[in-house]
Amino acid sequence: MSALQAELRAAAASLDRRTFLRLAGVAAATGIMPSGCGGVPEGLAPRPDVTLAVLSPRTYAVFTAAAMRIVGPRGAELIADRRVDVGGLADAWLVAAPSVAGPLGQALLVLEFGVWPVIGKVRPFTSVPPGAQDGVLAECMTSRLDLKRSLFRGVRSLALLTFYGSPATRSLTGYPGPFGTGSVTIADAMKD
Amino acid sequence: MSPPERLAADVVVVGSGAGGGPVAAVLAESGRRVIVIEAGPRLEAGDFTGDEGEMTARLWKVASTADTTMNLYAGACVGGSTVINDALCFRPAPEVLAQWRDAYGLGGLSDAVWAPFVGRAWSDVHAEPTGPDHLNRNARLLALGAKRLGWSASATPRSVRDCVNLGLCNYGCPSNAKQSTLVTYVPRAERAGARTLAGTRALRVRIEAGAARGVDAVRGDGTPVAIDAPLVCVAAGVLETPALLLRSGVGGRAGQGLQFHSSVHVTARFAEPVHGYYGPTMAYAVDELSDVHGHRGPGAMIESVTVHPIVAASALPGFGAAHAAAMAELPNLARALIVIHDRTRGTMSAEGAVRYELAPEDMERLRAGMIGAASCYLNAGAEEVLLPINGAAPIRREADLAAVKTRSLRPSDLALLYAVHLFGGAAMAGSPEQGVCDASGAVFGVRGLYVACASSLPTATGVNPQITVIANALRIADGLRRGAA
Repeated sequence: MSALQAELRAAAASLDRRTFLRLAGVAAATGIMPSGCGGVPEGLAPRPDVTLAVLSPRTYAVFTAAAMRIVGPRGAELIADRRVDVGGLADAWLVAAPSVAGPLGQALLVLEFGVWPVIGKVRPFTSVPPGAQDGVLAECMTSRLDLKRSLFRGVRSLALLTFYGSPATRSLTGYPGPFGTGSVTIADAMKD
Repeated sequence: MSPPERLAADVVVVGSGAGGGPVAAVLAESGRRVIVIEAGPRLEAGDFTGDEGEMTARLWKVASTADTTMNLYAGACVGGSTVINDALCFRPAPEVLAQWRDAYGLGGLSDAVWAPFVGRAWSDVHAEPTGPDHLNRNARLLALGAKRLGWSASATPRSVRDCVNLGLCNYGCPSNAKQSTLVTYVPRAERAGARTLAGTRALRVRIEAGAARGVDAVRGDGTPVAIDAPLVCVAAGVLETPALLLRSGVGGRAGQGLQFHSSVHVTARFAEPVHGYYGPTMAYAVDELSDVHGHRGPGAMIESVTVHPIVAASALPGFGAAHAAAMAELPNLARALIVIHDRTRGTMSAEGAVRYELAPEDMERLRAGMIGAASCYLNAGAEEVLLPINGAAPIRREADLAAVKTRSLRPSDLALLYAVHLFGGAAMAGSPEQGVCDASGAVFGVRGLYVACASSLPTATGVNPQITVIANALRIADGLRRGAA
């Protein structure tokens, strides 16, 4: 690991606002954080026919990995089976929300390359076991640092939006779909 | 680059929602040549599929505060936020109107001045009482809890005609029941000759020698459009108007004084199905904790709100298996919106960056609202209440709320903190030291430039603002119609 990489990862561990912003700038300037598919687990990489507008293959993979932990085990199966492409849906969303796209992209890179005590060694988020990923997310969720909690909220929000916006997830929630034309009707909701 | 397409009008109205729609209708009906430009697309009832994800992506503008703790939402289509709002109608609070007079130099805006415009707004959007046929179980459970607590609460008037309880108010009303400006003021304006340019974004108001000369805009395909007009009325909503004014060279307090209704959701799980995704998205409000319309509470409204999958998931705390387990109970979930009367003030830059750091006293308003909603649901028989606080345990009995009353609470602890009622950034006031425009909506120091959306309201309204925004726009338009410009 180069000295610059070490500095980057050490800075990520503390994650105050200044280092967070510096991280993104340094990473972008040096290319330390890979933007290609290299090193991304195959199951998390975008399909070859997917063209990304905002996310890089790397941030697509980080987002997909995080989303699989956020939506729970049955939801993760839908994502793993590519029945719900949360990364592709997120990319489309971020095109229309440029003020969110920048911070979220930075957050995903920090999530991938930060040094997280619960992992105990320097490994990308996408390459550690699911339990360790849960540990990282939980650490972010309950951290004393605003920035870590914000990172968690941002990634979680987009994961839930893209996942539960997909009709394929209705089997998990019991949502019967709009208009009440199925087994559950609008009248069922209006009963006393 | 090719020269811009050149158009001419008597009036350019930027925005087509609760501010721009009424202005366009009144001025077109008075014989002015009106062009309305709207950054978002034009979708009609037949385009509204009811798909939460698809329609949110097509109709909503999503932004966040600079510190990313709060999401900000607005409509981004012809009709603006009236296409995605919940149709609730509240008259302006007398206390708030008095505050505008006393603290912002708007002494001429007496209750009597407001009254005819509020009445016209009420009538134009067909605000009507919500009867029992339009109260779903989601609303009835909140009502039951409030009744058992002895709290002030009631069904809320809504701007609908022949509502069939689809529960899709936030995703474009497929039955055209909701009286958004898409079906009221915009068609009225067009029948009177106005032209609406959808998918056309205002880049700047052209200001020369202290007077507005028109608007430079760009179509969705990148084609520039220059519209010449001696009168420009900006009504693009709070996520756009202050930045547009700043980009146009309007200085002073433009971009200052933003104020929101910060909001969170409280979710309750019941033993029996609620099916809260059907029925009016909102129809019942507990105003016990409100601080307007004669109430002396901390400043929090509790309103029943829809239980569609995305919004329900976003409001539930945590992640993983526990979160998924709660989502698996979706048919049995009820939800309430906590919407507070903020005191926080924020700013917007010319690039649209919003700084808004929620003040501790507003966090306490959110806390009071969440505890109040939880009490309502427990009294209505909820098996558990899920507060939108990451890491917080479910509430199963009143005693569990003790921990909520004393725990630290920061914006980034919340699963979802957002605002869709946005105000200020180009406020009316008695002087340029206090605001951007005068009581008539005229921007200080720029002839022919007016502001007529929620940006021109000096403070948050304390209640859902649709009627107040429309009434203010009608008042400003009436002044223009009578030749104030």
